[in-house]
Amino acid sequence: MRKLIRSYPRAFCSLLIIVLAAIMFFGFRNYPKDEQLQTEKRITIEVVNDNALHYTNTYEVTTKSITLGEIIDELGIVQYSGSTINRYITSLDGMEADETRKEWWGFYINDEFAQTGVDSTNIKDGDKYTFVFNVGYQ
Amino acid sequence: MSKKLTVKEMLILTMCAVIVFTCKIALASLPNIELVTFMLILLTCIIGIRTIYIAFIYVMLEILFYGIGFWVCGYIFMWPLLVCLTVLFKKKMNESNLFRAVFSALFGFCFDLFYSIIICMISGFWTGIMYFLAGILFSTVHMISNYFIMLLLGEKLHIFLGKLYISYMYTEP
Repeated sequence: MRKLIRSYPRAFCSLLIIVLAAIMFFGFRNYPKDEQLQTEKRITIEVVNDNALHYTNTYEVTTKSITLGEIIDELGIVQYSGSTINRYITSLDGMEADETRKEWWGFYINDEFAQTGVDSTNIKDGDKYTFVFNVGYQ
Repeated sequence: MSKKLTVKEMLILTMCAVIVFTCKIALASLPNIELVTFMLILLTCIIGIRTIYIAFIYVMLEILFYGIGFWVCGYIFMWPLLVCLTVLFKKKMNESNLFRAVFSALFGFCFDLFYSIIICMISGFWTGIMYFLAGILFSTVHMISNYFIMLLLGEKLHIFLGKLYISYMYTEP
């Protein structure tokens, strides 16, 4: 083996780099499909619009989905703009946020303002997700 | 080589920095595929520690072109560090193109690691780890591209730049 490596060092190094890259690439791609993430979870989703309608709607969901984005897609209560990777919520439960009037949908995880988008928020069993209709940016 | 830079040297170093910057802009649309590591390693092999001026001029050009951002912390430290590391292994670098290729691949992979350390210090250990893991795919692309660029082009450009440098430095105008 050593003789072979010494005879063809370029080929050996190139192969090593390609194998390393392949391990990292497939490891990265399969990471979110971890079985632990796909266990059954029971969560609460609340949609609140205190602005004009004093509207509140609660969904109790039992799911095996991983992200919050997948669940609200399954419920069919949402409309988006932007790409499929980084989506921006424009309408929830039929209530549309008009950007020209500084209206937007924000969401809270267990009453704390979320630091991630819906597609990068992994849900946890028993968590409560509240979508709130906001006007203004302050 | 005298300690003070001559005007001729200044001009050569500035022109090299502009070439490095142009290479960067030319491949800017490709994610993490760049010629800056490649060029800086080769130039350091030929010019030596004075390539650090090229690294700083290059960073300055980047700031002028793109403005100041979080990435500046990395650039202002990482490119001069690359030059210093290359100087440290200069003998081996000049002897073997494969060594240069493996070195530039390692540097490419570790580039994001430096930003992760900064994020670790600012936002906590796990945020830094998550930042690195989230970008590992791009770090891998950086590693592979650096390796193959050096492996395929390094040998010939090393000889060519060496000849060019000697002809510019040691011939009278």
